[in-house]
Amino acid sequence: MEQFFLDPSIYTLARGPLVWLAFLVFLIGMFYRVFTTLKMAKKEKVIYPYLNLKYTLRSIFRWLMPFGSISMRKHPWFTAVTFVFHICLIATPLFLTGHIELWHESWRISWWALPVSLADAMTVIVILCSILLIFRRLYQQDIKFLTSFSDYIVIILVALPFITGFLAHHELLLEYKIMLTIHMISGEIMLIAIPFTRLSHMFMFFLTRAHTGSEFGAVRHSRDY
Amino acid sequence: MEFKRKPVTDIGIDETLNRVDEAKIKKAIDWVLNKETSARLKVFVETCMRCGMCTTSCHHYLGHNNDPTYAPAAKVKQTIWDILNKKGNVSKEDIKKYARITFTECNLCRRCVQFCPFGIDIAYLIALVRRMCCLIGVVPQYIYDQVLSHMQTTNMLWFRQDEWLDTIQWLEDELRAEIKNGKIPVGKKDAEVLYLAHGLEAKYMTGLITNMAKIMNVAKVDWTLPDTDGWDYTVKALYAQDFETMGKVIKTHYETAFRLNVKKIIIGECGHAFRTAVYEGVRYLGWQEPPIPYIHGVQLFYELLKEGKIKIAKKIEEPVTIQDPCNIIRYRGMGKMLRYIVAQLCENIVEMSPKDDHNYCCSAGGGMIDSGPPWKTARIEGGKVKAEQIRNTGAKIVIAPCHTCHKGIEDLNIYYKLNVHVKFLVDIIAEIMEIPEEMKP
Amino acid sequence: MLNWDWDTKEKIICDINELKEKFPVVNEFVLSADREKISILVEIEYKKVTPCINGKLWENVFERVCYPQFSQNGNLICLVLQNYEWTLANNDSLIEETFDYAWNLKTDINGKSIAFNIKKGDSYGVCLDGNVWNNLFFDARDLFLSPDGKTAASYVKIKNPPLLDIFSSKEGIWTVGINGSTWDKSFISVYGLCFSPDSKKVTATVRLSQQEFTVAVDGILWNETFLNAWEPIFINDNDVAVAVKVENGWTLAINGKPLWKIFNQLWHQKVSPDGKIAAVVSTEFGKWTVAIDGKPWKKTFSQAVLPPFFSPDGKKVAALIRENNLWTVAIDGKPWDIGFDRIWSPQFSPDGSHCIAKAEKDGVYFIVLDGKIGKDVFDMLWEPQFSPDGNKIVIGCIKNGKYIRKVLTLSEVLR
Repeated sequence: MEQFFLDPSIYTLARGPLVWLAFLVFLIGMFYRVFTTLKMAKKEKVIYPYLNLKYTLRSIFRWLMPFGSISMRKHPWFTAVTFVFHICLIATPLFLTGHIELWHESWRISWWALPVSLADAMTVIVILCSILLIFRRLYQQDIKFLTSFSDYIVIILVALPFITGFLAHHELLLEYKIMLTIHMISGEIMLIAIPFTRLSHMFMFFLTRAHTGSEFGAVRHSRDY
Repeated sequence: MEFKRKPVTDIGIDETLNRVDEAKIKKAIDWVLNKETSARLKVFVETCMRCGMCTTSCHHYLGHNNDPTYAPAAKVKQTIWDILNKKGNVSKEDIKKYARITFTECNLCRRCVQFCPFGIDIAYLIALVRRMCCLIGVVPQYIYDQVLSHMQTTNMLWFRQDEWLDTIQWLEDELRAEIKNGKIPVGKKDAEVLYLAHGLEAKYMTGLITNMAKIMNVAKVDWTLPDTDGWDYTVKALYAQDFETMGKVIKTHYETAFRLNVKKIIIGECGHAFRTAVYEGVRYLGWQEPPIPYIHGVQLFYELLKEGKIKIAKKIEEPVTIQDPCNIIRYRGMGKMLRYIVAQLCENIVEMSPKDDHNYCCSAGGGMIDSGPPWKTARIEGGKVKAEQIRNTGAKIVIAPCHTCHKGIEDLNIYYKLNVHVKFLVDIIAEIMEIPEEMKP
Repeated sequence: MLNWDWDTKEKIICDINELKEKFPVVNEFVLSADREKISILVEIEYKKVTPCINGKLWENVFERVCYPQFSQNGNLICLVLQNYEWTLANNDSLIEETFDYAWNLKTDINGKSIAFNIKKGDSYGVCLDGNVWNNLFFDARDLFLSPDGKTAASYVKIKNPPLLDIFSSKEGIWTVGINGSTWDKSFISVYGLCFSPDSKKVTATVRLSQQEFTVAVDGILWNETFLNAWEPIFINDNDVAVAVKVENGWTLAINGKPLWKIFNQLWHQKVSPDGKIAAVVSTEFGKWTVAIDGKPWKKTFSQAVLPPFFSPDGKKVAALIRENNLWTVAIDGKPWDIGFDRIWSPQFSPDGSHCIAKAEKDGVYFIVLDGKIGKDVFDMLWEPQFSPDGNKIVIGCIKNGKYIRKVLTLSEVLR
């Protein structure tokens, strides 16, 4: 943050204030989304009385475990790709040496980091998976029918920080500092976008699964997986 | 890929649209969007990642040569997403399309919900669009006729009160040919069990009532049928999403039980009625659960066999397979009970794959068979998966403990030349159970 | 004639085991109000059925006997099938007129008038005191008799569009038939018919379209329509109360004006002798209780609350409730602390200080007085009734195969 005031530039802006802004918007936005959803669910009357912790957990467990549902077993390739994609997508930025250093710099906290080469590989995996997902949207008929322009944007939003991170790390295409600035801004845009786009599924997943898991398990005595 | 369908005429849809104006359409849509929906619609629509995991779970998609417009999420896209995108300003042509998709290309079986990573309740979204159509008055003619009957008579087929009573009386006469001094009590106060019948059983399939009476007499169940309106357990208003009528019918059923002071209500082998009476109907009225136990035929037979109240004289030897009706299996987990019963009745059971709560719908449920002759082709095409499932078992008998599955599979049997017999549990049990010497005429 | 004997402790009135030995089929037990008579349908042989009152058979025999009941003057009436024609049997004599079908037998509270639904050829209507309505209809459903017994009403079908003609049906084909004439308008649906206490007016809920419901009084509709409505009642000779659905829930409307606060559900409104209105309400989803003049009891119940009723002085309100799969009685919001497999509508003593009911647990029947179980158990029991002074009760019961009439003091019930 101080850096920006000492040396105002797009780079320091993206590295300081915009990070804070992005995290704030992400956290407050998501909190607001979840909160309003829970409030709206009350209006429906038939949601809360049927919620059941056991079956909520069963449902979430089944769907967070690779191949935990019949649906995933029927789509082995897609399941493999999405699990690898999601794991890399979340783990890479969280456990990247460069990111942890920034946390340390600001908050004096740090944690275990991925070996650089592994992080690099995971970044490539995210990029490759994104391409696969885009190809799937372009060429698999049923998904093509469902897909709208915004679905590509969402994938690009997610892939961009990884692509730019990779390029910056390997100092390709553009000068390191410029690429890094683009990387940071794209990462911030992604964070900000989460509460306002389909990316909110990272939180909404737990809410919808609680409802459907409880309905299937506790009320209908059958499986939702 | 585009939405391409052969033209079908249904005056309940086409003629109604000729008689309504755009203002009425907008009003109905706004009403549902603003007054009857909230978190679920919003979250389900905003969370769908268009991943396509639901696609192959749907028998309509598979039955129509993987036409993407039949995939569950595609049906949502072409209806509620479209409505939301257009902010409710939709044309009559749009409504016609929505009605066709939601009434005749989805059975509300909820199999796709089991395949969605987010558990998005696609059947709920489809039903919402049916509700909008219903408020406009756009409902397939054959469903609407039954709903109009429900509105006043409570039964689905305009049956008069004397017709019901008279039918039961002559059925009792017929029962006497098989059971000595057999009784079919009507309006008996303080009986333990209130038994409700399917509308069609009172007019066209009376053997089912006689067979149930035979079982009740042999098992010495203290039972009664209603002597008033409310004897018909069907609630076709569910298919139209006519909550007003649905609520009145379900209220009548429970109040009939309270008036006669029974301990529980038992119905025969039917899916939608059970579902409405334990979920949609009671929830609309404000009960969290049925106010008194509402027992399905499968549960009844399970108890009677388990407790030894009926005994089987000779098991069926031909290979049989089991149809798992969505509304009692996926919606109520009766798969194990059903299998226990069938194991008591039959020597040779060949299961379908997939089975139990992952079973495919018969393609007749959720109002599709009730949409009548205009939509029969849609139903038969969607039933291709079910037909193949049955054919693969090599079974000679399909046990289908649901009126809709029963009739749906009978139609599939003819069209796909499966050479099977479709049977209700009640018919099999009545045929092969032991009748004590003293009860023989 | 009825015989209210409050002195004889115990009368053995009929040996049912004996009847069971004599006849192959013995069923449908009904009592006279004073519990002095029991009618049992006996089948002498196949298609030869007759009522047996206190052990004595009627002379007439029938192919079928339906709706046996004692009228308030103590006569047994029933609808009977004889030589393939239906008619009314009253005290072992038949009326002259016969019908293709007859059902829904009713008598008024004085036992003077007798009415039932009838079918003649393809036409439907009502027979009141032996007179068939002048106009018959395509269908007639349910039967309502005015308190004075002079007017009979039924829901009638006045147009008969062909099957599947949804557009004609949607225009309304049902209305109320009263003594053979009908209201001017017809409806998609009409229900909850109710006479005013002075027998002069008739009200019913009518459905005009998918979401337009209103109330008609003598065929004249309220100006207001509602999203849904249940059955109306007269709260006096002129005013009608009905539960209606408005945008955010259910409320009670009187003469078209919604009055109560909004509930999740509301039905079965009842009026007390002093003009209070009680109704079953759901305060929130899955929670049920009784509200009096719009104010709900504090305690709510999860499974069911049946229609409330007032003590004779109107001071107390009771309702049957179901909680944890057991039934019991709640009075003024306080449930009895024992539950039963089944309980029947209780009766308040004339001064409202006691409440008595018939209950069942595990297949045996017993009396419950003020929430305490009576010592005696019965194979079969009819609802007990208080004497006019409230000190005694009379019951009809079956024990050891015999029908017995008993008079008990309140202390004897609990002993």
